[in-house]
Parts: sequence; structure tokens; C-alpha cells
Amino acid sequence: MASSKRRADDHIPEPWARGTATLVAVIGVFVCTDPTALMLFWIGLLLLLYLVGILSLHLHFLLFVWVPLCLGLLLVWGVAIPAGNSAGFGLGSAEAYRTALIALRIGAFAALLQLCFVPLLHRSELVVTLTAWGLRGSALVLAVASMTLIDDLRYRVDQVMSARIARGLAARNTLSRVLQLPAMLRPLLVFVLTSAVRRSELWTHRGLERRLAQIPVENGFGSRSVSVLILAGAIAWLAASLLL
Amino acid sequence: MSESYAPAPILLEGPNFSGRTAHLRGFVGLPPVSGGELTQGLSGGAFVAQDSQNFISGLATTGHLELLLHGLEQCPFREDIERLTVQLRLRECLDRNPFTLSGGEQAMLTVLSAAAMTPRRLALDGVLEQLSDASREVMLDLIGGPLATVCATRLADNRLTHFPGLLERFSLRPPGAVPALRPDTPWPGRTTGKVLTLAGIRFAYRRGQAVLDGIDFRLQPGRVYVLHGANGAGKSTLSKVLCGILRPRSGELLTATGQRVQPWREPAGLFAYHFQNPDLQLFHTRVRDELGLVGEPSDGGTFHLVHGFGLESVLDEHPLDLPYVLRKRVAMAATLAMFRPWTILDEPTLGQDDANCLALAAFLRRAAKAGAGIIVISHSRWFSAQLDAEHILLRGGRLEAVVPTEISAEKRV
Repeated sequence: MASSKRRADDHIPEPWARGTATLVAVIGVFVCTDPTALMLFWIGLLLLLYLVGILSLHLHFLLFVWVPLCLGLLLVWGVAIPAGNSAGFGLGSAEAYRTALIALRIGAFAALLQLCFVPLLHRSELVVTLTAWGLRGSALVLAVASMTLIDDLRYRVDQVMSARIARGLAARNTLSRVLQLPAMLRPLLVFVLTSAVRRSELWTHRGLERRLAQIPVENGFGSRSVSVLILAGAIAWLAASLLL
Repeated sequence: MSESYAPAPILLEGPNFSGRTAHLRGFVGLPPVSGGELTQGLSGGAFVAQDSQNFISGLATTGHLELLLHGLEQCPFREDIERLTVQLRLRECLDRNPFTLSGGEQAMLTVLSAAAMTPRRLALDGVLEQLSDASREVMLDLIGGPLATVCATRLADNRLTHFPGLLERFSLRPPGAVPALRPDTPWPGRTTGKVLTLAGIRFAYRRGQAVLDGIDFRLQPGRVYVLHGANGAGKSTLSKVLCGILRPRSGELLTATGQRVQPWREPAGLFAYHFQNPDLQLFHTRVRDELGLVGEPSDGGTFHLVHGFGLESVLDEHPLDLPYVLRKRVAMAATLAMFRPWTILDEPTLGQDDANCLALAAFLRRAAKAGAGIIVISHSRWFSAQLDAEHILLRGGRLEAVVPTEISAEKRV
């Protein structure tokens, strides 16, 4: 189909390079002890995320996960364990360093994972990549299914919420939606259990486990030059983080 | 019934609970109900039922990948399927997550996915009921054409009974007394509809892609409206706007006195909305609680609905333990039991046999005569013809009153 033809022109790394480069870069993130270097590396990743077209997704993550997490760290080290005194708020240099380092590591780590997986999500190359990384059979099914799970759950939550509003059980405002969470758990739990039974029957009956490993991709999938480039970049980053 | 492969598709006819679903599941090697052991030696079959979202694999992030996963590349009639995606206006949907498609689009995708498998046996249980007549004809061309050369197909479909097709038919008898809708049920509501004017209602999920593009229409209580439109035309979106689930980008709703109404400020205040898929709108552990019943059935509003919808024997059952036909009825009765001035019923006949459809039509006509405002979304021309309704068509994001000759020409049973 048209969309599969379009993919042949894309410049994406080969599966082995994608996996290796991500692994090397992640090690670099966790061995790096220089917040400035981490910050620069993260900015580089933001640029790549922008080029790939998924920067907004990362900003979404920062707003809803990273910022609350950092505030939590500040509270733990700034209030619960005050630096140098027994009461009051005051970040010591050691706590500030630790907070900055952990926050930057989480941010860079998330950016790396998003850069590695998100561009593959809506493409047939996802299965090829996971297969190239050694995933087979049920493990492959589990990995692919887990990547579709968030969209699926988000859609179901939206449906249940809409139905509750339509039945006059909830209002449209955010507070009402939050208060609906306990009432939504039951239908969602039932959905998870029944769909698990139905899907396992569907997958077994249609032999989807076998079919999944046979999803075709365009010939020549993955660019060698892009692969070398990202691998070189990842190794350079690891070397820099070891030396700094 | 012979189990030999037959190239001609066979339509199973029979009322609800006559065993059509169990037969179809057995035909492709599935146990009568979900969760049992698969029959050995009958792999290579495919079964799709009316709750089509349960037949999306969950292993593909786009519709295109769903088709590839089911073997589109190796399918001998791949070009036919690709042509159908254009004919059915499904092409644009293939880049989206299958779970975000409309009910009709999901139904089409699941049937095409099953066809792409090139199964030896294909069983379609009511899934075509969600499609417009034009889309259903296109699907039947595939089933009776290229698919028939490699695959034996059996269908159970209440709407195809009234569809002049080339299918062979086989009737199943009912196994005994089953709960049915009762045609003599009076409308138990005390509230009556209100005149409402929709003025310039616009809505878009994404900027620049208007789904509703200036809806101007006057709704009069005391009559049934049937909302027509192709799959994905925005019928459900319009219902959500009226019900207050979605807020329109512009436009307003006015009462007869010119007073402005804002449903999104008080959702479900004016309109009660029955969704196409009943499963996610059932929230309680007993049917009784779902309907808001206290005590035993006797005279009274909701109790009329319990009697009319044949639900007396299942009042203490868990709604999700019931078969699809009854789940649909429970969800419908629960919506009607809200007794709002207007009630929107999205595909109320899904899974219901002819007798139940006629009883439902009689009930809705009676409700409208009693002053209730009823809007029905249905792809069944036959059912629409039973409603004495005003037909409105959603086309290009706009609403217009129509008198489709093909609908008015249908004879009442």
C-alpha cells in the first residue's frame, strides 16, 4: 500500500544498530557524573526528537511525569532530609548535585527510550527490530502487545468516561473525572479480564503468534550509514561520560 | 447441517437464541462460548462477531499493520481487498490505531482482516449489521466473489434477511421459550420532549478537519427521527455533542423560546444517549442496579421497561454475563430509564431478530406519540421504515431532512 512504499525512502538505522546504540548510550547516561555533560547530551537528544517529530511526546512526558518526580525529589532531599540542619528547607550542595544528576538521568533515559521505540510504533519494522533483538514466540507477542496497550487502554478509559457522562454519572470537568477513577476501575478490570480471554482465543485460533513473525517489510530496511553514525555517536558519548 | 466445504455463502436465519452463534463458532472450530478448548484439526478458520472491537488483534498499532499481520501480502485477492479499502473509504483510517476507529470502520476492518487470512472457513456473526447498505453490498461482493473461491462462509445477520442477495439460506428453529421484547409495552415516561433548534453547530477533533460543519436543524418532540449517514460520517459525534460529552467549537442550541441551552455544562440533562457498544456502558454488578430498580417489579416507569424489554428473569444477573442480545437490551433500557426529554439510540437493533426489532419499533412509535423525543441511528432501512420517522441525513458535516424513496417504498410488515 502507499504507506509501505513511503517507508523505503526513510533513513532509519538497522535493528542491531538501534539496539546497540541505545544500550551504549543508556550505560553512558548512568555512568556519567557530570550534570553539565548530561544536560548537553539531553539537549542533543531533544534535537533528535524534534527531527524525528516526537518532541511534543517528550514534552508531554516532562510535564506529567518528570516535573512531578523532580518536585518529589526536591521535597525528599530539601524538606524531609534538610541539609546541615534539623529543621526547615535547605538544599545542601550534595543534595542539589544528587537531585540534578538523578533528574537529568531520568530525563535523558526517557528521551533515549522514546527515540528508540516511538518511531517504530506505527510501522511494520517494529516486529523485525524486536525479532532481530532475539525476541521470539510468546515473548515477541508480549512485547508487541504491550506497546499497543497504552493506546488501547486510553481509548477504553475514554469510552467508559463518555458512557458515564452520558448516563449522568459524571460531569465533564477535570475534578469530576478524577473522582470517577474508583468507579471506572470495575468496568476497566472486567474489560482487561474478558479481553485477555477473548484475545488469547483470537491469537490461538488465528495463529497470530506465527503470523506476527512473518509481517513483511520493505527490502533494504535500515540505512547502514545512519547505523554507523548513531553507533559512533553513542560510543563517543560513553567515552566522554567515562572520562568526565 | 453438512460440514463439507461449500463455495456459496450460507445465511443462517433464525430468531435470537436459536443457536446461530454457537453453530458459527463450531463451524470454525471454536467452543460454543469464549474461553473453552479449541477444536483440533479445524484451525485456519476465522470468526468475527458484532462486538467487532473484540476481534481486533491488539498486536498492530495501525489498521494497515492489522491487515499485514493477517497475511495481506500473501493473500491471493490482495488487490481486491486494497480496492475495497478505497471503495469503503477506509484508506485514510488505515494509518490510525484500530481502536480509535468508529464502530462501522472497526467492523469493516475486522472483516477485511479475516478475509486477508484466506481462511478455509469464515463465520460472520452479525458484524455486517453495523454497515450502511452500500458498504454491506461491497462486503457481500467480496464474500460471494473472490473469497468464495477459497473459503466457505457462513453468516448470521438479522439485516440480511431483508436484503435481496444471492446467499443460500438455512433456518434454525428456536430451542424453546426465550425472553423477547414485548410490542405492547407503553411508554412509561412522564417527561416529554422539548423543541430544540441546532444553529451552526461545528465540531472537529483536529483543527481544520471538521466533522460537523454547521449543523442547522429543528428537532420537534412527538416524532421519531432516524439519523442516516455513511460509516464515519459523524453520527456518533453529533450524538456526543447533543448529549454534552463533547463541546462544539461553535454554534448553539436554542429552545422554542429562544433560550440558549448548553448540554456540555450539564451532560445528559436533555439527551440520554445509548451507545452502539453496550459493554462499556454497563457499570453495575446486577441488571437491577443498572436500571436503578429498588424492590420488585410492579407498576411504574422502569418496571414497564423491564417487562417490555423481557428482562424480568435476568434482574439479578451480572449484566456482562449475559449474551450480547441481552446486554444490548439492558443498556438500552438503562438509557431509556433516565427518562430525559430526548433519547438517542445508536444502532438499537444490533443483534436483535425481526420480532424484537418490530416490537422495539412499536415501542418507539408509542413513545413518540406520548410526546417523547426519540432519535435513532440505524443502518437498517427495513427497521427505519417501521418507525414512521422523519429521516435526517448527515452528509459533509451538515444535516438535512430527506425522504429517501428507497425508505418510504419499504412496506411495513
